[in-house]
Amino acid sequence: MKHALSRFEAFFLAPASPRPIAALRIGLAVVLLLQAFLLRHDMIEFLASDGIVQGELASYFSGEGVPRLSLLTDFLARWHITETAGIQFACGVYGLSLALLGVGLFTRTASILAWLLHWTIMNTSDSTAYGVDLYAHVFLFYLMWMPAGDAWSLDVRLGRRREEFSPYARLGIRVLQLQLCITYLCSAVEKATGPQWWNGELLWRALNLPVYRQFDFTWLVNWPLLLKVGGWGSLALEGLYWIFIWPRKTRRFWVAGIVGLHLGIALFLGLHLFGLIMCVLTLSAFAVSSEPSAKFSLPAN
Amino acid sequence: MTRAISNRHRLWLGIALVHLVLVIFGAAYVDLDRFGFLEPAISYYGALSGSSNSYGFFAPGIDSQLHAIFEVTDSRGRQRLVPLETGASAESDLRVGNIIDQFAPDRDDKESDVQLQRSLSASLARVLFMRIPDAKSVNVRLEEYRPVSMEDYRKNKRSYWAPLYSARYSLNARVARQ
Repeated sequence: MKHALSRFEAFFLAPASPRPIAALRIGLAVVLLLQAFLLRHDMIEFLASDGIVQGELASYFSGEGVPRLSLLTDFLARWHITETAGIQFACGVYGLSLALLGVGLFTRTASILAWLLHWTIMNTSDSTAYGVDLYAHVFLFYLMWMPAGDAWSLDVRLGRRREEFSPYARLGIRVLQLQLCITYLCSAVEKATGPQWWNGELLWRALNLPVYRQFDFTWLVNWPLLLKVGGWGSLALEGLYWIFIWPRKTRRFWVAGIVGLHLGIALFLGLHLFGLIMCVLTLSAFAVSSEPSAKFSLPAN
Repeated sequence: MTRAISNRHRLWLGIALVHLVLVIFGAAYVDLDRFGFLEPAISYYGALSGSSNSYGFFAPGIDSQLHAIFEVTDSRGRQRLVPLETGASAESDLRVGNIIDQFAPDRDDKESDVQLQRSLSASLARVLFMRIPDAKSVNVRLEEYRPVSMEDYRKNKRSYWAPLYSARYSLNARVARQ
């Protein structure tokens, strides 16, 4: 019993390098900055009270009690600052917090600001949100609590933080890893309950649905086995992730498989940012070493 | 340099484990009502941390896609089709598509569907009036994509857009019809 308890404690708390968390910090910041850049022309349309989805309707989609940009813009209105200027200010601070997060300067403050503003912006334009926003919200929340600035950061370069092996880093890495295992397992179970993932119809529909169609894939109608195997492969990669991502022998294959799956989603379904963020998550959690000597990855126990 | 494990680390481990249990609850659609008076706190924590998220993207399958057409009539009576998407980036257009998806009918509550569709179409029409100053009326037409299965495709059946909802808005009087 005591042995099991000490193994359990070692799994979660044996000192580790914060580099995987730093990799997540940098990767997440880069993807979200790219997203902000791509949306820069339409932010007012998505966020203003007279934007595409307006006033009470916007509140209806995001639910009650969550922060929205109207809190800030109403406050700034007391000083005759327009709503547009308020939104631009919030988006500017958000972009700055992501840039600081990426380079690791004032990392803790930057991560808190980035999480809060991302959540607020997401709530304000909730009807536009999708997977990339949900994952970003989850992992920005984690970065606030984890030693994200303790490696590959200006904070370390400037002597504000020290790169050290710590139980907090190990705990953070384990939380990231377990979050991904839960995510993929639940996703696979839900997918497996429907017939489309088994009979090839899912890929057939996804590749040919106007919103996702990047190329003409109607020729695949003559290759149903290929579509079936694609569906089964996705289910296997996601459903068995929580098993095969841990052993050193299978980890490389699983990381490569998951990255391939998400690059495929990015390329063939046009979900570029979603594909990118999912690659960042698995690569940082499972492919960046938390040990000084390992070339590829850290041991699972 | 390394740090030894302390009780403070163990406390954080306990907090992290509770959080991960909540992540499992969220991902597995566990009904939080069973937690009684704790339910509001857990729900709010779920929203702020993302632990209440579920991850069933494309699950259990793909049914259809919605698509909105805006027919604008200007002061001279000329009609033209105007997209809601700005074309600024694929990411931006994808998000506009997500807004249109909010029209998707909820089979359990038809009355709410009608109210939501009416509010949303009015909201979208207003955007068109703001973008096009000489617009006199906007006809919002919503269509649902009906994809065909592989088997039907081989039988020469093809996917098509079916009308789902329609409403006309004018600057003087706003009349919604379905």
